Amino acid sequence: MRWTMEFVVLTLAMTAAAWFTGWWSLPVLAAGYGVWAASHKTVVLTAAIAGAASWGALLAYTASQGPAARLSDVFSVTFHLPHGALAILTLAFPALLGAAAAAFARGVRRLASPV
Amino acid sequence: MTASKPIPRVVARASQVAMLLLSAAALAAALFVGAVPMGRVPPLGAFLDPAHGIWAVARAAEFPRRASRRMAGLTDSVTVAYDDRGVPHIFAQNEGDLMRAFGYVVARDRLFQMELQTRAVAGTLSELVGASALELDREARAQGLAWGAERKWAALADTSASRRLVTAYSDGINAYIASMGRDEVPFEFRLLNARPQAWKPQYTYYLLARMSLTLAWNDEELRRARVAALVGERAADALFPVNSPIQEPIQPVAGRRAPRIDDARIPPPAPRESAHVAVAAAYERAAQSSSLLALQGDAAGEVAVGSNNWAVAPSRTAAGRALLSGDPHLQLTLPSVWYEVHLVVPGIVDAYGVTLPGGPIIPIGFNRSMAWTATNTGADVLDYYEEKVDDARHPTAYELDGAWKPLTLRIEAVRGRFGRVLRTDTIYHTHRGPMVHVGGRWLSRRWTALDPSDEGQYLHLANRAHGVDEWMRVMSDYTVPAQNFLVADTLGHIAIRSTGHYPLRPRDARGDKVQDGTRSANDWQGWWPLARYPQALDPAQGYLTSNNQQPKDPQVDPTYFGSDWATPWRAMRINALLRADSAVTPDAMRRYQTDPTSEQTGFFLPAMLEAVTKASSAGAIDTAAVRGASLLREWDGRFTPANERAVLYDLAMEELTQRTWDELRGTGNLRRGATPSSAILAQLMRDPTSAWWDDRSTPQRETRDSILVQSVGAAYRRAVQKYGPPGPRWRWATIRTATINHLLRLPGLGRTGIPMPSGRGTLSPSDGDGTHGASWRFVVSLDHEVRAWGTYPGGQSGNPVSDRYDDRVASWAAGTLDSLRFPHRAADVIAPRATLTLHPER
Repeated sequence: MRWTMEFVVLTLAMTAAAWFTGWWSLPVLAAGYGVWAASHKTVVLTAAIAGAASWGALLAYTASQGPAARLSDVFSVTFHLPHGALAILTLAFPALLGAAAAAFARGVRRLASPV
Repeated sequence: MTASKPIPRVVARASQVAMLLLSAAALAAALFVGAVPMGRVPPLGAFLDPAHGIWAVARAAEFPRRASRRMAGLTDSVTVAYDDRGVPHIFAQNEGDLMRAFGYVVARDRLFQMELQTRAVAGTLSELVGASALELDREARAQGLAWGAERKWAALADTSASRRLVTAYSDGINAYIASMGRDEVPFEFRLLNARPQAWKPQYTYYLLARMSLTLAWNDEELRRARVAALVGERAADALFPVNSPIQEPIQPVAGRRAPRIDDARIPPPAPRESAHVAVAAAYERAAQSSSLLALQGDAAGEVAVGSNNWAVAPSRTAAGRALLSGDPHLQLTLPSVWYEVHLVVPGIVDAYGVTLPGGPIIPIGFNRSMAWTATNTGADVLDYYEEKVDDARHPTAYELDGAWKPLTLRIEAVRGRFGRVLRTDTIYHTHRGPMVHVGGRWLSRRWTALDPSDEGQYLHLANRAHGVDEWMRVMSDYTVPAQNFLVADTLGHIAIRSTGHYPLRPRDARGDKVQDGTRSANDWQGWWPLARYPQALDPAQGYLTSNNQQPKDPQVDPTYFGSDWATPWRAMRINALLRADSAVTPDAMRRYQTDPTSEQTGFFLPAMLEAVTKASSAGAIDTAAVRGASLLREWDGRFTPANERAVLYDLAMEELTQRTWDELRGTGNLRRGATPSSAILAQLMRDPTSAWWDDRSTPQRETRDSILVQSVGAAYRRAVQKYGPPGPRWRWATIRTATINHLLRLPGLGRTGIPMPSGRGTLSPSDGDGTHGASWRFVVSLDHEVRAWGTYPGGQSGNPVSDRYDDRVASWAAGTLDSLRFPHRAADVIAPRATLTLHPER
């Protein structure tokens, strides 16, 4: 339950921050979460999933407002990439960013703490 | 069993440090690719961001149903109603507001295209796309198009209407750029990780310069000099003649009801000398570098770009009202070269038509009283002069009338993406224009496109004209690019005039030969008087047409006007169709635009078949030729998409051309630009034993008929090799298709493989790669209430995921036309797709 709450809050925060500020807000929030929840075993995984989920939510909103699938197709043909590559990249990138930022922040926090 | 030991503290620390370093490296890598561009890949963070990155392009694909914006400079509100075809109908209370709103609206749809075209002229593409565009930029700067456009702009009086309206239009574009939300940044700017630059009013003149390059660039001198070096002056004159051997001119000849065919024989080639071949090679290199966008014939001597227009007087239409058809052909691109618009200021202007994004006037369109359209004249308005300079490598002066005159130097620094200078060139100018260095010779170029002139002013007035007389009057001083402007009005008048400034050369000198630059007496002496322009008003034949052919029959006026005329096949075909139809309807006008029959076939096909028959009856013949001829006999002579025989004729003509003009294959592969036109080949057909038929690579002497037989046989073998045995793979629809490339040639953004009813000499010609074709087709019925139909190969939007990006390609390919909405008021726009209201700033 607690994990779910953390996940939802983090996802919502990342979604709002991406909309109002920019992509760089995602690693900032993930890092904050990494510091705050450094003792949790799932902190890195949570940040990764929240990152992907937040951008996924924005993607879903975009798809409801315009021809996102066509854009994805155009991108794939233009850059000779597999079908759906743009969407996969769009979900993978925030996952990587969130995980790396959370892991780094957790590491710093742990290093600063007595073993 | 062993009890686990606690991990020593130092090991735990080391593990933590290792994990930290690993995660730091991962984070740094992610941040790096997120924030820093790598080669052509933009920074992925902002690019992939689903809120405001590339995905936002999908959200911006369509305009909101209703929008309202404030704009500086407006004096009153302007309503823009987009109809069901995405055409903006702009209703303003004064011309300044109209132009501001128009600039805003066109930028909203085509901003990237406008910037790219501007940069292509300015020679600053490298700043946008990187060093790969360096040579294009150097070429553009050497041509001096931007230099000429800046001169035109500087020469406009501060009080001139052009300057006022172009400035208002420019203000509108900049108002859009300033108000553009981050979600509205066009797709291509995002791919290039760039932002649009501010628009300057003179960029409109850059665009005109670009059209001049496409339409009025004529370096016949270089091509002709190359051919003369290979086969001698007399032969060069005959292969690239000043006058077309088949005359079906634009200006009708009284009483003539058929084309006039010249029976002159083509003199044989002169013996080749090695020194001449070297000269030819130098000219070839120069021609290759200086005609990037010039129209060139294909491997069978056919120019693939061919515009058409025709108008029919009320006496020959079913409804007793004048009809006009416009069919300009250009390079096919997405977004399209044209943008459709309806401009209204009550009581002042109410005009509809297509515009070039970046240009505030309607060069082809109609208003409540009349319609106008154009084809390219192709007159020679560019001459070369061989200059004598003081230093062959670094000249500072040139000789004129025995005295040394200083050269003007223009330093051009081409910069790359981040401002780094990639290359600095010095362009030398004489009083005639910029110089080029060709084969150790310095040639200066005199070209009307670089002279100060004010085309915008004339077309601006023409858009508001009330009839043919007024239109012709206000367009009298129009300069460049010279166009065969065709007009028709609701009173039933039709008229045509090849309008533009044409140089008067001394002693009737020809402009297709390089002139001696050391004498000022060789300079242009002035301009042709208007009365001598090719023209006609309400002719007795009841119709007018132009198809880029020689405008006047030289028997009527022998003065040199140019030499680079389109082949006469299209002119012959439309004249035949219009002569045969005395009750023309708008739908017939539409059908004629994509008529699949070519008059060219009549000059070659019967001779091919007869030659094979003769050879066959003589006994010794290639079976491929017999098989090919039997298939060609089944052909109806039409280049329809379902036809399976047209390909054979197409290949046979290519073989015939290559085999006949082998004498011109002097410096490597046969260059397209030096292939005589198919009209010259038709002329040669009347001389079956001419020396030109001989293939120099064989010991025996060939005649016309032996070459024809060889061509048919080789065509059959090539067809079987490429497409297999005769069958569905020979269908014309799979062979001759249109290709509409994106402006950046990005593969996912173009449209390819579009079947077309186009072939050699048809009214809608097409080249091998299909990259040129009808850029806009329309028909106007000049009733009391003007009605019009039209389409173009693209769509109004520059956004590649918008429905409006390519929604007209299907109708264009099918040869159908959409009904064009021409409402009197914004409220009359039925089911508007979107409405934008622009208000003055408070």
